[in-house]
Amino acid sequence: MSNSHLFLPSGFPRAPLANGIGRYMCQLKRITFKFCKESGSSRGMRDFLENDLVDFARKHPSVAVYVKPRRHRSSVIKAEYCNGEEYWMSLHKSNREEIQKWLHLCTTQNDGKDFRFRKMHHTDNPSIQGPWTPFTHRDPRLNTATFPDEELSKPVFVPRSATDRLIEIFKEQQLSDHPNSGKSRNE
Amino acid sequence: MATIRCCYAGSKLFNNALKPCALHKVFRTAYMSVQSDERVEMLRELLKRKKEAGPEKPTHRNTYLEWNYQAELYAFSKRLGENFVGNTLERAFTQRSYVIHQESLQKELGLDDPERSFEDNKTLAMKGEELTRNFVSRYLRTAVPCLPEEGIQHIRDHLLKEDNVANIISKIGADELILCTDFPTEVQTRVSTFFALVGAIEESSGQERGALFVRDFLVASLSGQDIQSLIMPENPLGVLTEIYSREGKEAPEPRLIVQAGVNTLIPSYRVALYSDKKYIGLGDGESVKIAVDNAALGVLWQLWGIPDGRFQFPYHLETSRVLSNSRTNVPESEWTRDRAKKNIPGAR
Repeated sequence: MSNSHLFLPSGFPRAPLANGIGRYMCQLKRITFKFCKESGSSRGMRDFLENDLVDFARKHPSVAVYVKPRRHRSSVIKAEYCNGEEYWMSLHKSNREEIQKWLHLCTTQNDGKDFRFRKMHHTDNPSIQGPWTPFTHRDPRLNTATFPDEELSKPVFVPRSATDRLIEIFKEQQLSDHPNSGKSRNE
Repeated sequence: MATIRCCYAGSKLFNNALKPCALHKVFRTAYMSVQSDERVEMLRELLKRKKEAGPEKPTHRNTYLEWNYQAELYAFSKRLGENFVGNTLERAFTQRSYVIHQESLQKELGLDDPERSFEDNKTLAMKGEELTRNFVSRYLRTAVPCLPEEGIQHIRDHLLKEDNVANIISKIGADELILCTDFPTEVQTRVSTFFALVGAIEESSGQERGALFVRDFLVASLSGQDIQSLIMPENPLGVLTEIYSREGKEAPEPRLIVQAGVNTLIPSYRVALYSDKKYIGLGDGESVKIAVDNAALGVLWQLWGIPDGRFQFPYHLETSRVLSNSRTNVPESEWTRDRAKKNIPGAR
């Protein structure tokens, strides 16, 4: 996340109006293709309208499709979503395949608003065992212990001192100097 | 240079107040297409006036050039996956205010044709509201059969709140299709449109299909919400004690079993409930009272069939099964385990 994203709305993955829990509803409700009949920058859009528009409309009956020719302006799609949001996209000099891909995006996204995901998953029940308390995962030995307890009063972790380490090294040296002595002790 | 001189001469002829840099200006406008000072001034003035006028008023979508109401209605019915007979859908969207407006327009034009009269969505809305209220109650009773009837009513009232119902209409893209005179549409308008839609589906495809619409859009809006907070009793231990006394058992006795950090800012207490010297539940809290409440709530959720953290509300119950369920849940004042069990189908 960079500084420019500080004020970007953020949250968890969500579906508008519990989409899919009930029935799936394509969130795109209306799309307007704007293009010029002459300009070269609208060439791809004209190709798309001639070849693929009817298929698109047939495949997505839940989308109201409008085509709007405008003189000497570059081609644009404006998608309107069920929650009232609009998604505008310039398709200046885009070819037919690119337009198809952008349309696929338009029909599958929620509303096209910029949104930063804090996590890529979401759950309504974040914890099955309940909130943590100091008594969660407590040692059962504590139930019957009487305080003050000498064993439990000791520090949990005592680091090894340099003296301990020296004694250890000394013993190791003794063993390696007299291999027979160790062997005889084992026997 | 000849053209510049020509322009200069022309401007001298037509412009009395010629500025000293006129030659330069003519050159710039003719060859570099840089905006002239006058044009900049004008744009500046326009911007100033635009700021003074404030933000632009929102306009209804039907004032746009690209608007075809019949196409929109078709797309809407396909979006819902419902088939509407005749003009039922259009009738569901027609508000009383629109009818009055249209009739007055016709009178002004001198048209007094009785066949041109419009029908508003009042009857459809009444029909749909009855089905919606009935179905939501039955659905909740089927989904949580052990919950006291008061709890069912609380959840139902929450679901049927005006804002919740109106929000559904806005989020399925039906807001712009409503034929009414108020813009932006008022909450009450959207609520009546929702009920009219249910009524229209019921009229076109039958009661079950209408109920399915309510299930998929209204009941599903419960997802992601905390159901327990809607039915939280004020005094959980009192409610639990009453249940135990009705069942002829000893009243639950709270006992403090562990505590930590008592004199600190974040103390923690753990309370367990016992009845007849038998353990029935456990609760934690930052004070003894909260811990007792939590312990009693934990037991109550367990008894009422919505165990904490494990309860998954069923969103896919069959509508026919729900509509045939005419049982009401046991009211809180009479609630016992035996009586609640009779409500669970297949448990007898």
